[in-house]
Amino acid sequence: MASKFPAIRPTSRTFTMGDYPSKTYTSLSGVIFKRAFGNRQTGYTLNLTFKNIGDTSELRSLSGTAKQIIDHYNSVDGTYDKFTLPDRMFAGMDNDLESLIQAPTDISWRYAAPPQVQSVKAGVSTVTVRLVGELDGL
Amino acid sequence: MTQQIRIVQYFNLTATGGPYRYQNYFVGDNSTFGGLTYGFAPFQVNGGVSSLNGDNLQIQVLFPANEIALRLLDVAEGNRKSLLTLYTRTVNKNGQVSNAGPTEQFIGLGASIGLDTIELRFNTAADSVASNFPAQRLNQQNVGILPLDSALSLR
Repeated sequence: MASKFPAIRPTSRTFTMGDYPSKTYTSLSGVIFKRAFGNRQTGYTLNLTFKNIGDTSELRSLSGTAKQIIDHYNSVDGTYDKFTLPDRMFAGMDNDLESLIQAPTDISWRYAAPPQVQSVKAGVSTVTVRLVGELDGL
Repeated sequence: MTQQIRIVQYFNLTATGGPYRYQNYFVGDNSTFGGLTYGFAPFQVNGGVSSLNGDNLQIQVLFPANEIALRLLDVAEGNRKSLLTLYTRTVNKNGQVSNAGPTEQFIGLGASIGLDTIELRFNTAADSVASNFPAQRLNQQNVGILPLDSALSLR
């Protein structure tokens, strides 16, 4: 298990619950027929935006840097390796809700895609990160 | 109106050092079926076309190229020396498995190995015979080497 994601508070956070793997057949009569293929939810997503953070030096205490995120992305071999999410990522969220999102049962978080870095001005960037929580191969 | 079904398949492979038992529904858990314990493996079963002529049934069991599939390949010598019993059962919302359902037996036919998947191929050992089949016993003297598929050589 690689290190935690950097303890940076995002400026926006969008979480989508996972679902049970299933397929749906719709008959001509309109009857829906669903088949489930497993007993665990998967396919959670967490999209994070870190707006106007320093490129390499923190603009405020614990505001994080774009370099920290890129370094972390490299340390977990891009989208390959899994990692855990720090509490700070869920700042402002109720603890009970946070526990459901931070570590759902048997779910591992990975980068869904490489982080995007948008330059705002000299030394300041906005970083967008997309994570996916999936059941690990056993 | 919606109808729902949950299906588990139990894979019981006999090969060198086996049996090897896996199920594909209870993720990360063991499941007891018929008094035997089946571990989890993320496989899926494809194929299986039955015909009026009773041709033998061919299926492919698709695994990700993981340790389990590699071991199955190894112990069954490329899945040529294996016997598979496949049980298909329904599961209710509480995880209880039904007793009734199809039970099929297959023998290994080989395997296809891809970059990220391993497909084990099986078919049923017995095939049907047509009405014009000679009224003789099926042995090596009249059909040659006894086949593992439907390609009989009539002599």
